[in-house]
Amino acid sequence: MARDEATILYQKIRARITFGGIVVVTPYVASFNVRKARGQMAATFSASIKVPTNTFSASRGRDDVIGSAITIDAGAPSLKRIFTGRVFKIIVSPVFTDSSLVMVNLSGRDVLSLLEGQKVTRLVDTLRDQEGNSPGRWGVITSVTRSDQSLEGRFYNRLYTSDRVAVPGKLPSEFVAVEEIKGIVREEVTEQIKFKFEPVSEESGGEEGGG
Amino acid sequence: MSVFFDWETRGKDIAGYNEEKFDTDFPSTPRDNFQEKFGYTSVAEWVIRRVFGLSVIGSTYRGGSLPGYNIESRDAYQMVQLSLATELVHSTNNVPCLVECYATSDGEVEFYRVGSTGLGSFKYLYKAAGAELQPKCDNVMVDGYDPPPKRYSAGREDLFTFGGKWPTYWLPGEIFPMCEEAFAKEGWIEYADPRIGNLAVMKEKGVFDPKKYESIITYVYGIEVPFFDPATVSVSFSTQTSRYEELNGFGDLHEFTWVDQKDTYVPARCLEVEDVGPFDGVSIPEADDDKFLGVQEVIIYGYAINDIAIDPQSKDPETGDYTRFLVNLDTMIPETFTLSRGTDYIVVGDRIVFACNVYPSYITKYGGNIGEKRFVFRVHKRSIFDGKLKDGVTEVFSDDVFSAAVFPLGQGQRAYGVEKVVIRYSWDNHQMYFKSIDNIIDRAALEGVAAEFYPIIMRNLPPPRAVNGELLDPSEIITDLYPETVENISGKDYIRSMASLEAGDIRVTMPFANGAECKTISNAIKSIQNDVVPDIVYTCSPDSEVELGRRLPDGNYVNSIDYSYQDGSQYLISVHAGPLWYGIGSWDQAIYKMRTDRVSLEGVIIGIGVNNTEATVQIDSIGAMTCVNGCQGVLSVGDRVQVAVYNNPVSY
Repeated sequence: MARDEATILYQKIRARITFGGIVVVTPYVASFNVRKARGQMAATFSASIKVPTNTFSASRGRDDVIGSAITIDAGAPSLKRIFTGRVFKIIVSPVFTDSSLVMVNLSGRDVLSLLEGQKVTRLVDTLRDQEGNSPGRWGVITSVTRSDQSLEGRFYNRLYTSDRVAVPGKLPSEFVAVEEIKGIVREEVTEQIKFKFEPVSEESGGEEGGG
Repeated sequence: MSVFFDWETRGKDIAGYNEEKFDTDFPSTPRDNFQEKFGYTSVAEWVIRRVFGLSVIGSTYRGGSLPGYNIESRDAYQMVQLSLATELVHSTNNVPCLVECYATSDGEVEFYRVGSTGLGSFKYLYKAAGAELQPKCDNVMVDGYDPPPKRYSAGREDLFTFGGKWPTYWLPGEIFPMCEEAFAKEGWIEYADPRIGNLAVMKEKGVFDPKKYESIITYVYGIEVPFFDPATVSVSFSTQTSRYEELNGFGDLHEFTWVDQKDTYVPARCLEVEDVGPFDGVSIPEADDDKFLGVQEVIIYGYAINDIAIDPQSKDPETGDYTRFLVNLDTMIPETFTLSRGTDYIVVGDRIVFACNVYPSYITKYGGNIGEKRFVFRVHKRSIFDGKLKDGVTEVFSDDVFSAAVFPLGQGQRAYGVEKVVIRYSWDNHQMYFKSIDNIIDRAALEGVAAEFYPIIMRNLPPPRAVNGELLDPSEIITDLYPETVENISGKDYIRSMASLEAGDIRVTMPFANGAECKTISNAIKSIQNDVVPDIVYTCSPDSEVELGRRLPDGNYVNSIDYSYQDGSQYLISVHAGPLWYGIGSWDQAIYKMRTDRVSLEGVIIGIGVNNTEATVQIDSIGAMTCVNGCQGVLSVGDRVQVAVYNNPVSY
């Protein structure tokens, strides 16, 4: 039965970590781990490096490092870029074997970490545009919970047949006779009646339909 | 009081709004103007490049625009994933088109289709194989885009003929021709019951089909009455009509009964069927029909005979009997007289029996069939002036002998000469009734009347659903409209698909997918489900170049990469390879899952279209939104309404 043989070779390897204007190379790169995985939004890294004690001077404080871009290159025979991201955390501790150096522990994530916890808004049109195109989203009125007007009030030009007097050209003779007795010219009466049956204007809001 | 609405302006707009127009206004899939407005075709690319300013490289598969999907303060990465999930519709040959994006080593965001490219120069030092047993996935259910309902007019139906019969025009003026002008005050159109409220009938008539997810929410009626004048004409509808029927005559007349207590003759008001002789009265046409509801009135079309006496010249010399009568009358021009129910006639079973109080020797001279003309008479000369009756029209001579059917009044000293005897009875059918004070109702007028109705249909298509590559038919769980039948729908695939979901199965909503796409997606996802998930760890050399999602020569896919560098003494690159579907122990943790739901909100109508279908509603918490009227009634500005919003994103 065939099986894979484990072959360990000696290879010269180097590593380089660059962040916040600081470049650290082997042998001052103590260790690093980078993990990338599907289903994980951003790749993560952690690294331990040794830097001179005066690295974090007044002109380059920790505030310049936190959040700064970081790149990690490693490999052999040439360096290959394996990670680009941002420094999220930095811990400095002394190196007991060499007082001129401090140990810096870094950790962070890649550029997609910018999306973490962030929210976006992309609203779909809910009204027609100026060209009259349909909206991207619409609702359905399922019921009327409270009517603003009665049904009869919605139509203008409505006529009530019981109110026969108020119909142009169909005035009962008795009505005309009474009006004539009162000295009102028949045409004027008709005009008044007609006026009541003009379509309701926009300004009146359809409140009165005649009759 | 009847009300006349201005049909011309509003009703026609409502009735004319058909399905084609609705589809134009509200396409079944939402309009996609994302590129037009934002300059991108993919929400994922828009979020990463435009919103967060990152560099983007890689595949042409960069996700979809999620048309119709409202993104309001949603998690950015979740939206990226949902956008990328739309590429699943491009799956082919049971291979899912899984598109993912990760930051490259150089800090750019790369879109790539998982497994589309391999690692040609993949070198590893050694590998170790592991595996994980997962719950078995028997079913992959995918729901697609849930379209909002449609509302449209189903088209014109004729109210008069919808019941399956031609309408009948009833005009009293035609039945009594000499009185035509007087009877032109009314007329009605009898039509078969359209049974509009019976959904089974509506379905059989093809108005709607529940299997197509249609329902009738209301009707719009179009009534055209050419002679309508609100001042003089009234129009009404009723579910009961009247019919006229001409009888052959009276049959034998039934004698009044002597009542001692009252010391008088009274008509037999409570005759039983067995009391009626075979020749008493006449049969009522259609009285045995279930639709027959009873006699309204009996009308005699004839003329009044004022005085009746024995004609002394008519004595039979052999028998001594008198064979003729001598009468006084004013005219022989017919007019109508209504008989008194209970006195002149009663209804017994399916017969109408006419009564009289005539001396028994002469009773056979009265009544009978019209054609028999039992009553023979001469006109007394006192009724004749210059050879004519008092009407000045009818020419009569005193020695003229007439015969006629006569119905007696009182004790037979007065009577009606009868040309027709007509009953008017109630009938269980619908009618449209007209009355005019100008007496203008004639046949031409009624034939010009049109009554039509337009069923307003709501069609609410359910979202498509596919299981394991098979598109299910939701209509199979829609029962028929017949209460006499029972359907067992529990065995239908659509029901079983829901009932059979169990641990390990997958149910997901893809709010952008149509039916065919749901089918493709479910098939593709199902094809890659494995009970045993391999996990192979490759240990690679420092010069290896590995990227996520690449396909390895052994057919597995790179699922994770670990770079480990320790004290300058060791540098290992560990690669975990496994199936295409990675990290899905349970679908509930899947990155591609996104559900939508319908939510109900309240709002106020601020605009309404003339078609009564499209309204603009100011919805609480959303703002102004175009809405489709799913209600029965006519909406107006100011109404407070309940609104259902479809395809609303649901958070977890």
